[in-house]
Amino acid sequence: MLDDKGIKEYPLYQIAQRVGSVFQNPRTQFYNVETTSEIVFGCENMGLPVSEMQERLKQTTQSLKLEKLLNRSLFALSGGEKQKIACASADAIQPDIFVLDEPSSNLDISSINDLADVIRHWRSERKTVIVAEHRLYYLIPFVDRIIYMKHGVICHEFTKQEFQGLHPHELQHMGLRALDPFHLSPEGTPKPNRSSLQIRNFLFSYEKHGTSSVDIPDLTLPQGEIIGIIGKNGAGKSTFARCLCGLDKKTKGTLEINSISCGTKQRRHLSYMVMQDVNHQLFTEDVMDEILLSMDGANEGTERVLANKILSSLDLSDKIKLHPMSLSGGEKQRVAIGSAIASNKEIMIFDEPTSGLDYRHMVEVSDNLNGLKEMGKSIFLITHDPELIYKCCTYLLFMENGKVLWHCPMDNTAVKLLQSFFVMDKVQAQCTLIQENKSDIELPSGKGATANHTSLRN
Amino acid sequence: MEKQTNKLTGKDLINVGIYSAMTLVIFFMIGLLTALPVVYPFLFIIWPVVCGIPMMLYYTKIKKFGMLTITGLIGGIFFYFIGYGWIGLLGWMLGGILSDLVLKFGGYQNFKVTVLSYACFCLGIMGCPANLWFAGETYWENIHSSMGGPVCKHTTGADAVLDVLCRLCSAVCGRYLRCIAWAQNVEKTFRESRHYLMEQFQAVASTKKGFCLDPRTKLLLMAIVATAEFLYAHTAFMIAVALIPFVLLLINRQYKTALIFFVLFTTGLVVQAVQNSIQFPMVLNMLIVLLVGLVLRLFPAFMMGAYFLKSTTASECVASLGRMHIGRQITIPLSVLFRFLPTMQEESASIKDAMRMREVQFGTQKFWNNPAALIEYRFIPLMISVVKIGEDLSAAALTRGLDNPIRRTNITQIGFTHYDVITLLITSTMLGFTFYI
Repeated sequence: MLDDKGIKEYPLYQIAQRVGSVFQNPRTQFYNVETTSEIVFGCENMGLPVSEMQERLKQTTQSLKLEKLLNRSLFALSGGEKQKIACASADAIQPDIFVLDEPSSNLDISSINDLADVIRHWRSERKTVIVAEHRLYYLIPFVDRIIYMKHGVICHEFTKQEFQGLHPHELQHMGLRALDPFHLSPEGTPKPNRSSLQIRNFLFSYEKHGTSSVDIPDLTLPQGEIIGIIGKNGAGKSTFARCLCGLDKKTKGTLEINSISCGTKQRRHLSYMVMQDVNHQLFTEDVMDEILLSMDGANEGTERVLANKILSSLDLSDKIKLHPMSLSGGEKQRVAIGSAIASNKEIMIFDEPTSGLDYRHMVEVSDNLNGLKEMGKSIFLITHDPELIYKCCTYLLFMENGKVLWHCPMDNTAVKLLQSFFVMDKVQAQCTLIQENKSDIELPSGKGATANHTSLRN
Repeated sequence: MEKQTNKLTGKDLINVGIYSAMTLVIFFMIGLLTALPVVYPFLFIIWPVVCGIPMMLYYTKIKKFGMLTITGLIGGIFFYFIGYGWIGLLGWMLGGILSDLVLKFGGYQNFKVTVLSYACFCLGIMGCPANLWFAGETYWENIHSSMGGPVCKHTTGADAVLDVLCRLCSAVCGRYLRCIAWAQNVEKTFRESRHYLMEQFQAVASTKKGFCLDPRTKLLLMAIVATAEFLYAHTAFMIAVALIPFVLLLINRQYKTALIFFVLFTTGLVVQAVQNSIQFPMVLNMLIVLLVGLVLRLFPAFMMGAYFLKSTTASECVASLGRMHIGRQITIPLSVLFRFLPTMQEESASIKDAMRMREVQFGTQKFWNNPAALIEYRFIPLMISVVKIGEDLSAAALTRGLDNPIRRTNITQIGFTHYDVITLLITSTMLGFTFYI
């Protein structure tokens, strides 16, 4: 009901003038090609005169601090910046009510902080803001009411104090993410082993003579661990992953594994990457074919048996005949992981597997990753999700501007470094910590820092 | 819930934009194959079959009259600017209208009717390659003399088509003017047309420094170049026509494109001049004649298109269409088309990477097991992705009032300046002069 009249009785464009909407996926919710037109899109639809629109543009830019983002192509912005423009677009309509649908799903931590600032600003203007979320930590500081829904029905309403008093287990049972995801304790334990893989002279840049996007002279990592790759947006994590699995032919450098030195082509045969958008990776007409596609095709009989085993381990046995695209998001993820297992490659890379997932599905992903680790695979996990890192990562790699800043197994030092990254988000603070704990962590050689390797192999 | 109307809603128009974008891109990619004359006869089979894939998806969303007509119009305009000229425009429009009519009278969501409708659509869009058949006297006389076969009547085809076009245009203009006179009295008409003209010539303090043309002037120039290609009389005229895009490219600092154009065009001219004196074997002769015809007749418009795309932003384009009072039925699908093409590129690249990861690419074992998989695995995820993005986009646009029947305003400033007047004057004098000498 809006103003004593049922919502259904209003045509959509009239509702649009009273209610601003921001959706989950920053990439698909913009209509224009450049930022300024996108911000005033709602105003243009209302037929406002040009002078009024320019005034509103100025107001919105000032209050949401968008000066650096004006007059740029939307395709060149990062996810967080796009989401900011989406909020600005809703703001320019100057509605009384804002509705946001999981706006933080695809964002990294600093972008979520920016989003929190925007919502705080709206609240200070006494607007009504309704946010549907399961990642609540950024909203708790200024929330007024929390309404818990299940199966389409409102189950319970909490006040801020009541909600903060809930035990983490209750939150998990409700499918919600932790209220303080940054100060958890790590659950993964690094294995004591001797074998390692060595990355030498990785060099890659998008332009011929530009600055390198990835520059790693020498890096030794343990085999058979879940290595979390963390860093800010634009740090070069995805580029590094692509170089590692040999997708970019222009990459220079080698990977040494099991005493074999691998160039780009061999790395492609050796590694498998499960990408962020799972819809881009499902090709066939039924789930069984999808798993078989990853295999060689040499002996169909044995392959089918193996495929059945993989599918049952992922709890997909009853979905063998279904079209992959007809499955739910979590099921598609599992099919993608099944194809990864079936490919039988040594190195597996997962790019943001839990963006937008609630607690239960995040735990599922974590269990699957642990399962892969038990098989002896080396797993690289690119993620912004602190809970996933604490849950399954056994080794950490921090990147900044295409270079590796630090890397170490998941122990107390690592936790301290992690927290400084999450909360303080300042490289300065991390460097101080590194200096203090020089003996415990390994720095990439060639940086001029001394490193003591003994504590790594505990 | 809104009442079910027969008017095209915002959601329908967004769908038109998205699926037209997909069909156009696929059509264009296959059209690049026209560079190989060997493939030519098979193109008439390949085109309908491959374009059928996105079109069938589109048909599932069509429940009202008008969507295919708009697709035809957008496609026609797009390929007109690419260089297929008036015949391309006409073909696409006819195809669009015919297929829409078939659906209206045969029933929506009925498979047999859909197939028939698509067949009509294909007949229309085959107007694009048919353009080359009307390329001019020289081409066919050459074929005749080298092959000695039956002479095609296509030399008169160009004239016939122009005639029909002129009649169509005058009919449309006449009807439009008559409608205005009917609806209001003469004084009000005068006031309105004066207001309309003043809007058109609204000179705005341009924030751009240096030479810049209003998008409407660029559209007019493109129309001039495309029509002039039909009226190729002699070399001086051809050079004059080619000079227009060449100079514009240089002014817009597209030096590389201008250079390629210069080299190809002069080569074409030279080859055309000497081809009568040197005797080539028959097949080679046909190839050369075809390529020369392609270069000389399609490239100027093609280059104008390149200049237009590089020098105009999407918002300027849509703003100028709005100024010309072109309805939202065209501007909305066009904006969606502009916004959608880069997204399709990103999605396609991502899918390609995923395919490489699965080792489904040319030359691997899996490829030889199933060669068609290469195309299938590239297309199907792309289209499903497109459908999903389309839905998200519709939701985001509609919740910001896209369906509002009020006339849309536009924050982008455009207006005619002295540069437009000078450019048009120079162009018309140059062309007129070289045509009549």
